[in-house]
Amino acid sequence: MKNRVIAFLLIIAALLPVVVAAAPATTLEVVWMAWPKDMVDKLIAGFEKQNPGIKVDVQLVPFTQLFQTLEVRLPTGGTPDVYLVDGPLTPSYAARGFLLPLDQYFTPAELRAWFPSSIDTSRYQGKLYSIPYATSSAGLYFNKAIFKKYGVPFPSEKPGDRLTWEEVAQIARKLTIDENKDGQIDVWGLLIEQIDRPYQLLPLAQSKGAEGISPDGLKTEGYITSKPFVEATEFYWKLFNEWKVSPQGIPDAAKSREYFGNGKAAMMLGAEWNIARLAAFKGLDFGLSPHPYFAGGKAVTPTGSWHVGINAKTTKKDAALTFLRYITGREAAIEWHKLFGHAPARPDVYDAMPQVFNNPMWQILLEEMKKTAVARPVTPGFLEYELMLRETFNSIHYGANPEEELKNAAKRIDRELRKYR
Amino acid sequence: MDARRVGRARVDAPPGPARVWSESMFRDSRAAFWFILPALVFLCLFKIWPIAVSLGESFMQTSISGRKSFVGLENYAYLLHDDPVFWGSVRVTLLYSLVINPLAVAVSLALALLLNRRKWYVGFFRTLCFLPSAISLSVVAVIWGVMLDPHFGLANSLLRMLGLQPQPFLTSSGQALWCLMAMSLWRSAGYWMMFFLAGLQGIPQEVYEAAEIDGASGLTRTFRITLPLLARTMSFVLVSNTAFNFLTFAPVFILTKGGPMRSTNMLMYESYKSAFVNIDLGRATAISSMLLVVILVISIIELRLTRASFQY
Repeated sequence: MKNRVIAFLLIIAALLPVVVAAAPATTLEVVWMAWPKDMVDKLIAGFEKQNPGIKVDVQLVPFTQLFQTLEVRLPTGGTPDVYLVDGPLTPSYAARGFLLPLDQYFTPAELRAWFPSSIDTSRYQGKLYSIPYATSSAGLYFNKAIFKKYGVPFPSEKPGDRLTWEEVAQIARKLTIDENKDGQIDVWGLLIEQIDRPYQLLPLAQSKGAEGISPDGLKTEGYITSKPFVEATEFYWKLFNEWKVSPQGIPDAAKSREYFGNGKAAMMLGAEWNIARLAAFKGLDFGLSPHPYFAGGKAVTPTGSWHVGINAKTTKKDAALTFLRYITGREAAIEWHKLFGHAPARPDVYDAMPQVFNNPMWQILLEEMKKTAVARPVTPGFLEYELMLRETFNSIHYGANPEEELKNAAKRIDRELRKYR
Repeated sequence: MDARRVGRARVDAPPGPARVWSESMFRDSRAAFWFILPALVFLCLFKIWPIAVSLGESFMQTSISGRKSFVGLENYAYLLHDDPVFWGSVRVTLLYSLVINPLAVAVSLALALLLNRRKWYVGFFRTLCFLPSAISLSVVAVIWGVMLDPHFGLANSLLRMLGLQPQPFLTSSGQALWCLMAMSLWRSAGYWMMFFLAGLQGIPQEVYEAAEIDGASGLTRTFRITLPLLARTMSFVLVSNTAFNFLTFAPVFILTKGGPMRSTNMLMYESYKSAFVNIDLGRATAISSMLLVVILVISIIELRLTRASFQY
C-alpha cells in the first residue's frame, strides 16, 4: 500500500512540470491595423518568444473599419486589452476614459527615446495616454522617366529646397498627357496620395497661414472658413476641376501608389512609406523633392502616425504593459521599419540603421520632421472633425464650391464638438 | 384548403374533417396565444424595445461623459431646419426608393411570368436568376466595385471594345446612384421572382380553364386573372422591398461612402455615421425614427392599394 502511495506521488511529481507548462498563458486581445498579416505575425512572434507566458491574439482590422470597430468595442468593456491609436485620436479616447494613463509607468528619461512632437501628441490635458509606434512625413515623389521623356527638368532633391505649389501646378499641366489622343488621359500630372484626408491637405492651408481649429480644439468656424484656408482649398479644387491635372475618385493610398508605380502619374504628394513600397514596382525610377509650399507662405509638412494604448478597463494590465513596451521599443521599431517602411518615432532607430536613413530621400524627410512638421489639430473630437472635413474635401475635389462646402462643414463639425465643451 | 373555393365565384363545399379540426383549434384563442408567444417575446425584445429606446434617445443629447439631457425636439428641429446635408440625403433616399421599388417588382414579376412554365430549360434559368441573391450583399458590392472601376474595370473594357466612351460610374455624381440601383436590381430581382413564382403556382388551374372556355386570350388571362389573383404576393413583395430599399446601407458604405458629392448619401448611412463616428446618438436616432415613420406610411399606402378582397 505504502509503495503504491509513493508511486502515485512520484507520478504526480513527474507530471507536475507538464501541468505547469500547460497552464493557460495570459492571452492579450490586441486590435491592430490590417497590415499584411505575415509582417504583423513576424513582429508578434518576436514578442511571444521573449515572453512565453503571454499569448497575443492580434485582430487585424482594415483601416476603413478600424475606428468604427473601436467605437463599438471600447465603450462596452475590457477588451481589446491593447489597441492601435491614431495619434490625433489620443485626446478623443482619453476624454472618454478608454485609455489607461501611463505617466506612472514611464519615467521622463524613458520618454526621451521618442521624438518630442510625437510624445506631445500622446498627451491630453497634461497626462500621457499613448506611446508612439511610428511617425510620418511627406514629400513630392516624381517619376524620372516621365520628366525625361517630356523634357521637364527634375525638381530639386536637396533637403529644404522646395518647389512652390504654383510651380508644381505648372509642371503638372505640362505633364498631364493623352499619349494616344483617344480623349483619355494616360499620364496625370499630380496625384494626391490620400486624396481627401486632412492629414495630407491641412498643410496646404497651413502653408498660407491658416489654422485647422481653434486653440482649445472646440471650434472650426472662422478657422476652416478663414480666407487663407478657403484660398488653399480653391487651389486644390483647381487641380481636379480647372486644370484637370489630377484624377478624381482615387479611393485610397494603395490605389494612388498603383497609379504612380505603373507610370500613370508624373508626380505624387505622398507619405514616407512610399520610399520602401515603391521599390516593389520594377523599372520605376523615382525621386523625392521636399514638400511644396505656397509662394509667400511658409513650409509646412504633415507628421504623426500610429500610437499604441492600453484599454483603461483591461484586467491584464501587467501583460499589456509588457506588450506595449516591447512593441514600441527599439528592437520592434527596427524590425517594423524593415518589414513595412514606416518612419520610426524613435531617434535611436535612425542611428541604428545608417545604411537605410543615409539615403538622400530619408535625409529630406528627416529635415522636414525636425523643421517643418506640424501635428494635426489637438481636439477630443478628432474623429468627427476628420470625417466631416474629409467628406468636404472629397466633395470639393469632385467639383463642389469650396467656400460653401467649408462653411457647411464648420457648422456640422461645431455642432458635434459641443459635447466636449 | 378546398380547391373548389375559387375566386369570387365561390363554391360552397361541405366542411371536411380537416377543416373542422383546424377551425376549432384557431377559435380557441388560448391555444393561439401560446403559439404566438415565443415569436412575440422575441419581437418585443429585438424589435419593439430597441425602437422604443431609439425613439427615446432621439429626444436626448449625450455629453461625452455619458450624461444624457432631455432636449425635446432639438435634434429634429436641427435636422429639418439647419442641417446642411439632411435634406440632400432625404432626396437621394426617396429617389432611390421611388425608382428601385417599382422596377424591382416589375422585373421580378416579368421574370416569374416568363419562367412559370414546364419546360426542360426553365429550372436552369430560374437558378441563374436566383443565384445573385445567394451572394452576400457585401460581396456583391465588392465585385461590382471592381467591375465598375473607371480605369481598370471590366465594364469600361467592354465599352471600349464596343467602341463606346468609357464611363466614370461610381466616381460620377450623376451616375453613382444609378449604378447602386442596377446592382440592387441585379441582386434582388431573382429573390422576389421566387415569391411571385410561388404565388403564380398557388393560382388554381381551374380558373384558367374556365377563362379559356370563355375564349380569353393569353394577355387577357394575365391581366384579368393572374395579376388580380397575385395581389397578396404583390403586397408582400412591395412592402418588404420598400423597407429593404429604404434601409440600404452596405453598398453605400463599401462602394461610395455617400459620395461623389453626397449623391449616394442615403439616410441610413448618414444615421450610421452620426452614431458610430460622430458619437451623436441624438441625431442618429432622430434620423432613423423619421425613416421608420416614412417607411410605415408608405407601407400602409401600399397595403391599402394592393388589398385583396377575395379568397380562393
